Amino acid sequence: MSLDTVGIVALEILNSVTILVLLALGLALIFGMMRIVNLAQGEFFTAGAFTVLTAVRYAHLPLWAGMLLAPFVVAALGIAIERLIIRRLYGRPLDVMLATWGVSLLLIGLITVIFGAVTQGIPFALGNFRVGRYSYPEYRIVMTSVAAGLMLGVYLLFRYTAFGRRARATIANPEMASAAGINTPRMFMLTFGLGAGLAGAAGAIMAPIVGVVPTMGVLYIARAFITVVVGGPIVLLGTLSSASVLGVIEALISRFSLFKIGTAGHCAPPPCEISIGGSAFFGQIALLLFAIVLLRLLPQGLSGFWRQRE
Amino acid sequence: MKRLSSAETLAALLLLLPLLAVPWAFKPYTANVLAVYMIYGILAMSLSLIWGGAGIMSFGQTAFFGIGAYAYGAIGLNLINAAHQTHLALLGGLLAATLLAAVVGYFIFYGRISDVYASIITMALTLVLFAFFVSTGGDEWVIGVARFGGFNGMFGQGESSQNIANYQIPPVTIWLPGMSEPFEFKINRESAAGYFLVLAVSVGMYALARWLLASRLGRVAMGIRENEARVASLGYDTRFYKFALFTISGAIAGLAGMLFAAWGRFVNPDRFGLGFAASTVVYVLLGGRTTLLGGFVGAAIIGYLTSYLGEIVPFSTIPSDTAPWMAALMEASRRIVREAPLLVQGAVLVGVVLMLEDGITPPLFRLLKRHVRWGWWVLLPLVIFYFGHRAACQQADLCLF
Amino acid sequence: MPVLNEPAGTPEPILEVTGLTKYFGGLRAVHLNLTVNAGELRCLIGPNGAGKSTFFKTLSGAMRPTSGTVRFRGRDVTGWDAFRVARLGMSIKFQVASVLEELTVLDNLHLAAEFKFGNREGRRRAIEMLEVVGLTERASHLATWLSHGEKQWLEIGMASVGEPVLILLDEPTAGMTVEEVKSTVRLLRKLNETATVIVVEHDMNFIRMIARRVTVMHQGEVFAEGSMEDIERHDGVRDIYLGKGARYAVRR
Repeated sequence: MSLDTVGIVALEILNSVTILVLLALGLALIFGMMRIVNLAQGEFFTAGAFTVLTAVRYAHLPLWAGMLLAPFVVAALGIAIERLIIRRLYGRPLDVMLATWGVSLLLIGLITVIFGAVTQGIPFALGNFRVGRYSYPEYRIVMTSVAAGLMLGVYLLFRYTAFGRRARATIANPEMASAAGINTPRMFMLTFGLGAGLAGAAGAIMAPIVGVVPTMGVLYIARAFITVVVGGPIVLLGTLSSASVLGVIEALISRFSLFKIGTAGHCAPPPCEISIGGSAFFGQIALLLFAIVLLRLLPQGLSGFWRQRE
Repeated sequence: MKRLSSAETLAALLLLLPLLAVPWAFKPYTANVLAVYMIYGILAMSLSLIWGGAGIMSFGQTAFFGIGAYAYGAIGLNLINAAHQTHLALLGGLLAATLLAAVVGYFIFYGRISDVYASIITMALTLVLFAFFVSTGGDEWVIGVARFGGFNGMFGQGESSQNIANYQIPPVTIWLPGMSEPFEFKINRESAAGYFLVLAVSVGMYALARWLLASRLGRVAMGIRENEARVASLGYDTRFYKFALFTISGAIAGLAGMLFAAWGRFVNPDRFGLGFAASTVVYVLLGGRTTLLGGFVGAAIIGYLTSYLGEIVPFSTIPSDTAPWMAALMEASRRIVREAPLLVQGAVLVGVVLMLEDGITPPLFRLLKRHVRWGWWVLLPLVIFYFGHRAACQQADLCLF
Repeated sequence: MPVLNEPAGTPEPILEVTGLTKYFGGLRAVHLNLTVNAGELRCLIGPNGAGKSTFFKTLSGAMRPTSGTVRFRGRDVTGWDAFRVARLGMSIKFQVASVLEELTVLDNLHLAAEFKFGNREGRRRAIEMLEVVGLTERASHLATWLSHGEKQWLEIGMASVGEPVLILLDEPTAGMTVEEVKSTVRLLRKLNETATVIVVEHDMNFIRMIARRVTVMHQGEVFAEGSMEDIERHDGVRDIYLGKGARYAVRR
């Protein structure tokens, strides 16, 4: 393998990791801190992308302005949903899952009603750079920087601010925190809003490289969940470690064909054979299989495993 | 099994008599639609078996359903031209679904993955299978004469096929020794065999599920739902019981999937889609997750509601002289109706979870129980009279609608 | 020290706990050695937080000990799954009444008897046990409708219907009236005819009624052991119960 191939593979791995981090961060936050599974997270992602679309297409704002706006719009949406629905269901995790699924379907339906079911693109002005024989989009580097920035931001927020202290106290022991004067329902609401806003930011930043369509969240939600589940109980550490491991696997399997199996039948042109590996689809299959096997070995996920070993 | 109470017998009669009379009392279209509601009902019941029974929420029932459908299709297409029957396809479909459920169940339950994670993994499985079957559009995805066909769904190809019907997945076809020709379970003007097959399987699976829940497996499963640690401390390997119930419910879902492929003579990746997975959960939730019948009730109600909403498309043309706000309103309502299935499902999910935890079947049954005398002496005769009348006029071709 | 109901011949240990510890984070909840002989009715007492419930959970497999070994009927069962320990003949009644709320009373007992005796025989024994714990009239009620005391009895019934060799009872009389406590004592004596019983209790009156060998736990360790008279004469034990336990804190 030549040096430029190694370079491009490394970049693709970085890109896979970036996307997984972007998808999973908000979800991991909500799951890790509130112990609820938010199935509407994919639609928060979609809502972020559509905010950018609306801002650019209809309000004629610059792209960066739309992207800055998106997290706040989606966070507001998240807070509204938390107040209206999820708040009544704390302590019933399965019902939260079902209700947020309902919200997810409603949001897909509403977005389709408003924007139609067509795929729309958002133009952007960055080009490619060269890695030996290959060219690589510059925008992906921007995405990686944003993902790193978001992670750092979340870390600083929880580590060094008053909000972060209260949030950690609430998570550790809600009764105790509320006895200590912390308004726990408000903390849950803000945490949910933050998680939603992160998904909105992810949707906004990824909007230019994917087709913007009301069902786009569905395409990503499975990967986001796998990343969170593999990550385990510690939000940032878990997300980063599982995105790294899964990203490597996804990128490698997506790029390289492992082996071919022949199929019997009539196909033109022959021979009939299926290449296992070498497409984005097999990358995702590998992701799922790896996650299931890993969870068989480490039921607590990666970060849970490390915590146990301490 | 315990003897049925009076109210239970009445409920069974009120459900079964009309269902048995449908092929005579209505046009084949009704039997066709009811058959698919029952197929969805079996699928939904397989979910209530594992969810209501052991408290494990599986989003993966549609995955087993889809695998059953695809396996039946692939084997059936190859078999029908060669052997003119689909015995092995039925077996293969059931095996494929059972095997998938067993493997997934093994990893989930023996891996001690917690319940929430288990739900997520079953959902991820469904979505990945969706991605897989969508990506099988190429020429290389073929088994014998059966092409996977990507998003267009499975169909057969090959020189041996002379007419277009051979390109579709075959209906359930049996050709036992001693039969002069193969028998196809179809639903059309001449025959309602396919309908009765679906009805019989529905009743059979319902009885099986009830028996299971009344057996040791069911008692342990319900114990697990209540308090898993307690049941383990009584000496039960709870992992095994969860695994067993999960596998059985996966097999039942696969059976429903085979019936579906044979009924529509078609299967495409939509069966793995999130929409279908959602509708299955919606059926169970609306019908009531604690009762096995709930899935059937929910499937019928939602199925009827969405097909009704799908038929009424308001304001197909908007006159040019309408005021702009009026035109906007009309356009909005048209779009809302077009998205109705999704919106209805979403609203039901949120609504039932927030307000109607038990679904509608248990309250309905309580109502029947309270007025069981009225049921026997008024409701049942009315139903019999109505369906007798329908059957008579349908046979004489005198029905007004 | 002679124990009244000890069988003739050399006492045979049925449960041997050596160096068992359980840490929660940095906190040591349990650290003890304990031997219980077959046929004993052993009382385990100690103030709140003495680690009794945690100790029971590590015995029954509901919780994995951090270190140490548990030998039950001569076999090392440390870290076994709960169901395997139960199959070897150890049954437990948890501190918080944990009957299966949405199952009927009979089904609760049936489930508990079924794994050993099968469906029919299990049901027969479950019905017998209904009689013993006085719940015959409530057989078809959901367990969630039972009163607190009835739930406790149901759980004692569940713990004993499978003919276990060793029964662990965690606070069987919590929240019972004096009359109910008396009948519970009778029930315990009856159970003890066929099985070894370990009872965790707070209630000294109850312990006095049973009046057998008593082990006192304090801060996760065995603090004293002996007959009820010995224990009541023991200054340290009195201090623990009067709140001067700190003086006798066991060094770590």
